[in-house]
Amino acid sequence: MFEKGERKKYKVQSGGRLLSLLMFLIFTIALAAQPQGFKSLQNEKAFRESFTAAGKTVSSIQSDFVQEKNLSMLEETIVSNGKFSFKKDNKVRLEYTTPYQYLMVINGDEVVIKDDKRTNRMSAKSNKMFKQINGIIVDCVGGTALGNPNYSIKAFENKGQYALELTPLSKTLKEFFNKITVFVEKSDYSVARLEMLELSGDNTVMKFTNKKLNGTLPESLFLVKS
Amino acid sequence: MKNLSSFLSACLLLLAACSSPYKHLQKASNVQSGCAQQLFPVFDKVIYDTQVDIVGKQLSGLLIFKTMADGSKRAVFTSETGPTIFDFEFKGDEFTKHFCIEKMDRKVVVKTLQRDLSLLLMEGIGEPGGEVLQDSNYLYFPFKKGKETAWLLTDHACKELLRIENASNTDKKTIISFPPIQNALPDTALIEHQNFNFAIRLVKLEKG
Repeated sequence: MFEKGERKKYKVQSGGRLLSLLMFLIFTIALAAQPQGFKSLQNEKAFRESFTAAGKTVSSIQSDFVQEKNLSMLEETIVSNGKFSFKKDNKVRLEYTTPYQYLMVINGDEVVIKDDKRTNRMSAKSNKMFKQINGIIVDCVGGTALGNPNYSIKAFENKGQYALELTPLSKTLKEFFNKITVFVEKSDYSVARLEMLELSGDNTVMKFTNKKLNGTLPESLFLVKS
Repeated sequence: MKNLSSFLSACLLLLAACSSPYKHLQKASNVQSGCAQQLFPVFDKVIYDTQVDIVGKQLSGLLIFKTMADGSKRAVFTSETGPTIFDFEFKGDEFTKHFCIEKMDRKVVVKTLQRDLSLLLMEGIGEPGGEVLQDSNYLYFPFKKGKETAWLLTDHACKELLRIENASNTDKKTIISFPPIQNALPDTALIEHQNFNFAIRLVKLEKG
C-alpha cells in the first residue's frame, strides 16, 4: 500500500504523534494527580518543618463541620452537620447533629460511639480501623501526619492553602480509601477540608468552619456516659 | 406396645415440626387477583438511619434506596462518617453487587442481605404461587422463589400491606414488620431473622 519512503515517513510521523500523545498524557496525568488549582511545593523541607512546628503550638481545636457524602453512581449527595473538637494529645469528639444524631469520641485508646439508641465502647488498640482513622484526624490536626508510616504523602500548595495527599499504605485503610486529601490553611495551619476518595468511587468531603484554636475544652467533652 | 406408642408420638412430633407454619390458615375467597402487587412500593429516594445487630455485634449507618432511571433499585449502605460499606442493585430477578467492603464480602452475608433487601423493596421476590390464605388478622399472598416463599400479609380488604414473611416449606426464616403501608416504603421497619441472631432496624430520615 505504501511506497518504501512513504512507509518510513508515515512511521516517523506516527512515532512523533505517539510521543506527543504520550507526553500530553503524562502531563495531563501529572496535572490530574494534584488537587485542582494546586502546584507542587517550592520548598517542601520548609513546609514540613513549619507544619510540624505549628502542630506543636495547637493544644485544642473546636469547629463546626459539614459533611458531604457523594454517591457517584446514584448522583446523590447526603449532607450532614455537626461539631468537631480536638484536644491534645489524643482526644477527638465528632458529633453529628443533623439529619441524624451520632457521636464518636476518641479518648486515648478508647473509642465510644453513641447514637440515639445505644452506646458502644471499644478499644482503639484492638480495632485497627479506628486506630488508623483516628490516626488520620489526630495526625492532621496535630501536625504529625508527615511522619506516619500508614500512608505516603505528597504536598501541594496554592495561594492560601496546602494540600496533603495521603495514599494509604496499610491494608486496613486501603480497604476503604484510595486517597485522602487534607487541605490546610497557610495562615494558621488548621485543617479547612478533608476529602476522602473511596474504593467504591464515592467520596466524602468534610469542611470545617468557625474554628477556635487553643480554647479551653473541658475533659467532660471527651467522656461519654452510657 | 409402649415403645411403639413412643415411636409414633416422636414421628408425629417430627412431622408437626416439619409441617408448614402456614398449614393452619384457611383458603381466602373473593380476593381480587393481583391486589397484593398493587401495594408494591413506588419511590424516588429514601434514606434510613440503620442499626444492625448480628450475633452480638452492632453496627450502624445510613441505608439509601433509590429508583434509577432504568427502573432498577439501588441499595447503598454507608457509615455515618462517610465510607460506603456496600452498594447493591436490584432489577426484577437480577442482582448486581457493585461494591462491598472486603470484610463483609462473603457469599452467605451478601446472599442474606440480597434476600432481605429484595423483600423490603419487593423487587424480585418471586412469582405469585399457590392460593391466597387468611386468618382472623391477615390475608396471606404467597410469592415463590426457589425453595422459599415470600408471604405478603395485608388487611382483609387488601388495601394495606402489614408485614412480610419469608419461609421455607417448614420454617419462617425472616419477618419484616412495619406500620401499614400503601405503595411506599415504610417509615420504620424491623427485619428479624428467625433462625439466627440477625436484625436490621430502619428509621426513615428522608423520603422522596
